[in-house]
Amino acid sequence: MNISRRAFTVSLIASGLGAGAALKLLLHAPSKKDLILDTSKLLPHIDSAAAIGESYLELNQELSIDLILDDLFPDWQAGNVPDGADSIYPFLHNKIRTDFEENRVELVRKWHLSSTELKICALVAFTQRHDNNSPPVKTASPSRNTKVHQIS
Amino acid sequence: MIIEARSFPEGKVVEHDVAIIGGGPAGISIAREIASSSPMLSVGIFEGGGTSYEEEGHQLYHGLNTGSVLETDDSYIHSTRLRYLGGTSNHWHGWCLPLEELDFKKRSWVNHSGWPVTGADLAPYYERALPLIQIHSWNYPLRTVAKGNRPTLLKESSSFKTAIFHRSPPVRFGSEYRDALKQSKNISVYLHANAVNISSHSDGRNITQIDLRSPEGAGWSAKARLYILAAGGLENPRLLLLSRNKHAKGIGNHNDLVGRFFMEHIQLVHTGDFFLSGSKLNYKLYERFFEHHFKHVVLGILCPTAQLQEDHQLLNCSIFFLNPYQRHAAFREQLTRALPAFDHPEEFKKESKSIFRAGSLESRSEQSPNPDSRVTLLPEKDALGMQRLHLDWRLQQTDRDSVKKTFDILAREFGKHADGRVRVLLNENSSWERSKTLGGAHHMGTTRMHSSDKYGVVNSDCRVHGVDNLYIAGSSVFPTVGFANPTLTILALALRLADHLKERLL
Repeated sequence: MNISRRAFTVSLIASGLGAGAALKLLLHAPSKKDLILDTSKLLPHIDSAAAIGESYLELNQELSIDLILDDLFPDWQAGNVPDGADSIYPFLHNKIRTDFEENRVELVRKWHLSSTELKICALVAFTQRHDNNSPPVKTASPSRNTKVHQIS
Repeated sequence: MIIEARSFPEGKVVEHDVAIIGGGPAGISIAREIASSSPMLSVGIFEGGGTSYEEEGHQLYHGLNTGSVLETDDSYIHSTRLRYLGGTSNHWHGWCLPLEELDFKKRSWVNHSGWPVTGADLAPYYERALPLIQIHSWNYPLRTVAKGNRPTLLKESSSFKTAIFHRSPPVRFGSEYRDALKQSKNISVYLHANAVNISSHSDGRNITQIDLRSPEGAGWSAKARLYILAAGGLENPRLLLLSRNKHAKGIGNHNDLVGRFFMEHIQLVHTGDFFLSGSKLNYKLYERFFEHHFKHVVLGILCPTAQLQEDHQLLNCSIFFLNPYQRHAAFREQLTRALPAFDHPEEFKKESKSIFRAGSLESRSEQSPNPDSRVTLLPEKDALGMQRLHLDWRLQQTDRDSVKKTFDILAREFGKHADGRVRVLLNENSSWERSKTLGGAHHMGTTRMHSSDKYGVVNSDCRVHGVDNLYIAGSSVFPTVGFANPTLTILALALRLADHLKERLL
C-alpha cells in the first residue's frame, strides 16, 4: 500500500480537527486506514499510553511524529507496512521483544521499557496534545539522539 | 531430663560425654542425634536462659552496634536473638531453602568464597533435617504448585529461575522438643547455665571444661570428652574471644579470624516495582499460600541462575514479589493499563482483570565475605562479668552493585519474555540507603569454615583448628551465605556434625 507521509502527518496534526477527528479522516483514505486503525487498536487505554508517552517525550524533546513513524515503520513511506491487525500485532510484539534482546531499552521513570513501545506511546501523546488543543508539534527534527540504556 | 541450675552450689562439677553450649536448633538436634545413637552416651546441653523469655537474661545480649548500614541501632544485637530454650527458633519465621551448589564453590569474583564441603555432601543432611522442622514433602515439579500447569515467571529464561521457600509451622525447638528432652535418660538440659569461659589444657590443644555461672553468681563447671559451641553467630565468637586462659587472643584466634567476616542477608526494601502482562502465568506461586500438595505454606521467588552469576560476576540474590494490587503509583497504573497490550493483545482485548497484576519487588541478597565486618569485645562487662559485644557490620559497594545489576538484567528479561515490566529503584553507583537496608536477623560467618587455619576458624568437620575436642555448630561457620535463610543449613550441618561425633565417640 502507498502512504503519503505528508498526508499522514498533515491529517494528524495540521488540520486542527484533533487526533480523533484526524483518525476518522484517515479512515477515508484506504491507503492509511489499516495502519492507523490497527495500530490504535493496540492501545484501548489511550489516556494511559499518552501519559507514558508524555514522560518519554519529556526526556526526548527532539522527537517528532515523523521520526517516530520512521522508527516504527521504516518503510512506511514506500508503502511497506504490516497489513492489518493480525500482522501489526506480531510485528510490534517482535520488535519490542527484539528491543529487549538487543538492549534497546530505555529508562522512563526508572521503568525499563522497550524503545518501540515508548515511541508508540509518544505517538499517542502527540495526538492527544492535539485533541487538547495543544500548540502544533514539530513534524521533523535534525536529531534522533535518544538515550538507549545499555546493560552490560 | 531438664535441670534448673540456678541453685547449683559454687564449685559443682557435672560430667558428660558431650557438652553443648546453647539450647537452640543446632544444640538440641545434635544432642538428640547423639543420645539416640547409644544409651551409653550422655549429653549435657547448657542453656543460658530458662524455658521462656526473661528480661534479666536477655540483658546479657546487649552490646554496641556500629557499621556502614542501617541496623546501627544497638537493639539489633539483642532483638535479633533470644536467650532461652529453643534459642532464636522462638522468633523464627520458618522459611526454608537449601543453599545452592554454586554457593558452596570457590568463585573467582567473590573474595574468600568456597566451602570445604559441597552441596552434594550436604544433600542427605538437608533431607534428614526436614522432619525436624515438620516439612514432610519437599521434592516437587514446579508445575504442580499452585496453578497446575501454568508457567512460572521467566520460564524460558536462562538467566533467572524460580525457587520455592517451604515454611516450617514454624517449629519452636524449645517447646516442640521439651517433653522429649525431659524424658530422655541420657540428655541433661541445664537451664540458666551461662557459659562464661571455655578452659583449655596447658597444651592448648584440648578443652578441659566449660566454666558456667548462674544468674545468682555461683560458678560451676562442666567436663566432657567433646565440646560443642552452639550459641549463635554472635555469641560463638564472643565466647571464643573471651576464653583466653591458654590462648592469648582467644581460642581458635591465632590467625585473628574469630569474629571477622560477619555477614547478613541484605534486605533492600522496595528495590523495584513490577507488573505482569500474562494472565496465564502462575502468579499465585509468588504469593505465600498454603499448598495442599505439601500441606504447608510455600512461597516462590526468582533468583539468578548459576550461569548468570558466573557470566556477570554476581552475588546470589532472591527477588520477592510483594503487595500485589496495592501501592499503585499513578504511573504504574498507567503502565499496567497500557503496556500489556503489546505483549498479549488477545488477552488484553478480553479485558481480563487478572492481567493487571502489579506490586513491589524486594531483594534479599548474599553479602560478600568481608574481613572488616566483624565482632569484637568491648571493655564494658555484663552482669556475669563477660565483656560485651561490639558489632561492626560492614557492607561493600560490590554487594550493592551486584543487586543493581541483577535487577537491571531482570527488567530486560521480563520484557524479553513478555512477562511484564520492571522498574528498578536503585540508583547507579549510589551508596547504601540506610532507611532501606535491613538484615534478616541472620548472624553468619564469624567462625568461618576452611580447610586451612590461615583462612578459617573451623575445618570441614566444624572442629576448631588446633583444638582436638571443640566443635562449632551454627551459621557462624558459613564461609559464604547465599540468599537462603540459614536455619535449614544450620540443621543439615548439625546432623552432619552429629554423625562425625558419633563416629568419634563410639
